[in-house]
Amino acid sequence: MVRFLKHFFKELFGMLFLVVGVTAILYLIFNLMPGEFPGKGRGFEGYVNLLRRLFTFRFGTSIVSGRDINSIVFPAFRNTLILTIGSIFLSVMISVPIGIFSAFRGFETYSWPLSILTYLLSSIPVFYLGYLSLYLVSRYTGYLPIFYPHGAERGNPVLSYVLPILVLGFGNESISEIVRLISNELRRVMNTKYVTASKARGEPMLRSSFHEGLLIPLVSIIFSKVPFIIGGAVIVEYVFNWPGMGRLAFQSTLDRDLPVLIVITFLSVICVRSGMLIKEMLLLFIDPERRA
Amino acid sequence: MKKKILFTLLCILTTTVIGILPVHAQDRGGTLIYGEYGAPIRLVPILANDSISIRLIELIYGSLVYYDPDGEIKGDLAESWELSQDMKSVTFRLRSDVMWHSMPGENRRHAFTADDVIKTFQIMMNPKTATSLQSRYNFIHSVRKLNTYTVEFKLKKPLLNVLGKFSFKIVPAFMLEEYSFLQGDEELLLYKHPVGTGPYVFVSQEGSSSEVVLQAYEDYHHGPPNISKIILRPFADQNIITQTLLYGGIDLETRVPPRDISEIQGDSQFELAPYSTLSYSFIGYNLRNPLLAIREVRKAISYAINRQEMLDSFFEGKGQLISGPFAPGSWAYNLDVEPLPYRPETAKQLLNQAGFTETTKYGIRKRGSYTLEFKMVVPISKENETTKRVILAFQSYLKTVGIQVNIEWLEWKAWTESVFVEHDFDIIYADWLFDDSFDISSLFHSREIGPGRNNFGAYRNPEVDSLLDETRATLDIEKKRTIYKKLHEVLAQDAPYTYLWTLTNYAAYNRKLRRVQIHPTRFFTYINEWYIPKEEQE
Repeated sequence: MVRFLKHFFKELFGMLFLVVGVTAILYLIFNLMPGEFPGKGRGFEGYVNLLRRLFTFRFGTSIVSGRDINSIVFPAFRNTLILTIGSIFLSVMISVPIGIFSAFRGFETYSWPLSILTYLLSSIPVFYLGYLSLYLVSRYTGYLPIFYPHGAERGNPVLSYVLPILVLGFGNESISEIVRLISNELRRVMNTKYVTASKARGEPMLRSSFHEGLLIPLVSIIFSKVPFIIGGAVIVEYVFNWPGMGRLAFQSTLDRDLPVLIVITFLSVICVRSGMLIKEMLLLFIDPERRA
Repeated sequence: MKKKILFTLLCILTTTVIGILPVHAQDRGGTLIYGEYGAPIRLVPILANDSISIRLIELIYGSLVYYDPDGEIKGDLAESWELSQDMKSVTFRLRSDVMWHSMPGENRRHAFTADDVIKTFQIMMNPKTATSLQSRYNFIHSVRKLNTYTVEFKLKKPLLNVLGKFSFKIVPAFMLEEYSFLQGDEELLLYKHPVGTGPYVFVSQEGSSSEVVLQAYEDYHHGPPNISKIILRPFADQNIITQTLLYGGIDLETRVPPRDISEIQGDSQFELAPYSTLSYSFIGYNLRNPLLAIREVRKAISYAINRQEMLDSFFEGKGQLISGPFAPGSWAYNLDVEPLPYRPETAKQLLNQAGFTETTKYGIRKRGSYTLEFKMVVPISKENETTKRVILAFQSYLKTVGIQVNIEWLEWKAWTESVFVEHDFDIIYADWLFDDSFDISSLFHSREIGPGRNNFGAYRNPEVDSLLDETRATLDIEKKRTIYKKLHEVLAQDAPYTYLWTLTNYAAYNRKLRRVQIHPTRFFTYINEWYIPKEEQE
């Protein structure tokens, strides 16, 4: 437990350090850029003020629309979170069975078409997949709607989540990576002596190699993919008119809405670092070597 | 025979009667969702200058007068008006039954009075206010409150069609008490929650998507509107708006991209409504550059580009080539002046005449140390497909006659700064959008040269100056038309711009919307008439 806490605070400290560093660099860059934001050009004092506002979550107002940034950013954050978590879940659901299957079977009759399929899926650019599915699914069959306005009592809003999550889940390039990693790791672990020994005792192979061969690689790859998925979400949000962080960031950059941009960067940093933190904690919990 | 005539007469009669029947009470209701390319930026009438905000503001706010579909002036907040004998003052008698929409969290509603008109005007004309409207209204000398429901505007000089100018939107004085000017960065409730006197009440704006929800105003002074809810849905990508319309996600698209027009035309469920905004596109030159100050060079550029081909291939021919500085829909446009044809040979001749006979090793013409190489600045937010194509085509047309154009993409604010303030550019591609007055003196008068002024190219021509002054002085419409025609001719000859084209805009809507009529610039002016039949409301 003490080890656990020690690790936690170490990570937290690193995260704090990173946030301060990133915001300092941002403050510097935005000071050199044309455009306005509160605290600009006031040196260190302005920066401290900025930090205080960021850490107390009082973000102020957007200079372009004059609206409260909190009420802009948090709904966007929620929408992106839904998209990201949904798509990771989907990727895992597809890739893990394929990975296990090909670990057991090797590169032979049944598993190779599956592996090739995953590579194919991952190599389709996400914007292409997005437009393709829009045209095929929404336009011609009309089964799944594109995101509906929140005020209209029309259609089923839950259905509109399906298509973007499917597209990002297939198109975020992580399926083939998870498949490859899992099949390699699992095969390696299955060839170790302790698994052979447990097999000799009559235990199922998968159970004895579950921890080292499946859980550990899965946890590490999922959380290290978080930043890339946020990046991929920008395109999906754009294509599907999904009101998330990526679209907001893009729009604010065009409008040169610096206060909003600072907040978005701040939240992204926190999000990515939190992913790392959770990963470390989980690994500490799962990995017997680290636990010892 | 007689019977037949009677029969047709009857037919006509019944159809007219059907045409003007009031909307059935049960046809009230329904939701209209409309899609825009981009989000509204400012929901305050005085500060808004993007067309998306202007369309939305039309639904929420009211003005003293407006133009009805037949071009006649009708009163909105004004009941009646009177122009004095010397035409130097206008008195408006205001409606006394107008209430402002209620403020958030408050049930009490304020009455609309003369104070609101005066406050609006004072804020609008305060030099510190960040608005583009001041030059339009500086013909007004002062405004005075006669009683609670009467205001009088004193004019600096008599002006033609002056009443139509009083179509600016009125903002509530009780929400702006401490303010004498607005710059857009104040902590103001009105920025987040617009309160107006128009047919629709602002309900909410969703945070991340900027979707705006409006509710019909039950106590609207012209009677409650038929459609009970309107939602503005912003899109980040132009390609998807038409798809969403066809799929049923939205009911109305305010501006259909040209290449989607044929797709909508083929679908019987949707209607395409052309409307022409009084606007045109042009290539503008900075005459501070000594090379562009040479008329032959500017003319050569005009001859060198094939405008018809650009119009046909990038805008599917949905527009019209123009020859001068007016929108072709206006009475000021001179139809006798022909648009310059595409003649690259003439362009080369003109360049030779101007002495640009040598070429560099890259094939760019030069004269002595002067090379025909120009910097073109383009705003990024306009960087949609068609703009990009026009600019690249322009670049390659000029290349063939030996002129090099270097394109620089700038973010919108930086673009307006470098064009209007710093004048750090050679060529721009832009549009002018007109109101109903066609006053072009702010574009070409030498008085208007300077930072922040509209004559960004520093065009100076004494003949044009005197003609422009003359149009301002005259009240006779026929005489004015003659002068404008002359102006058109001179400005076409002198080519401070290369006049490109005016585009026909198309709105597309689901046929379930009935009695749709669109105002060319403000779009939703006649929204009160629109309705959705009961059986199609779902």
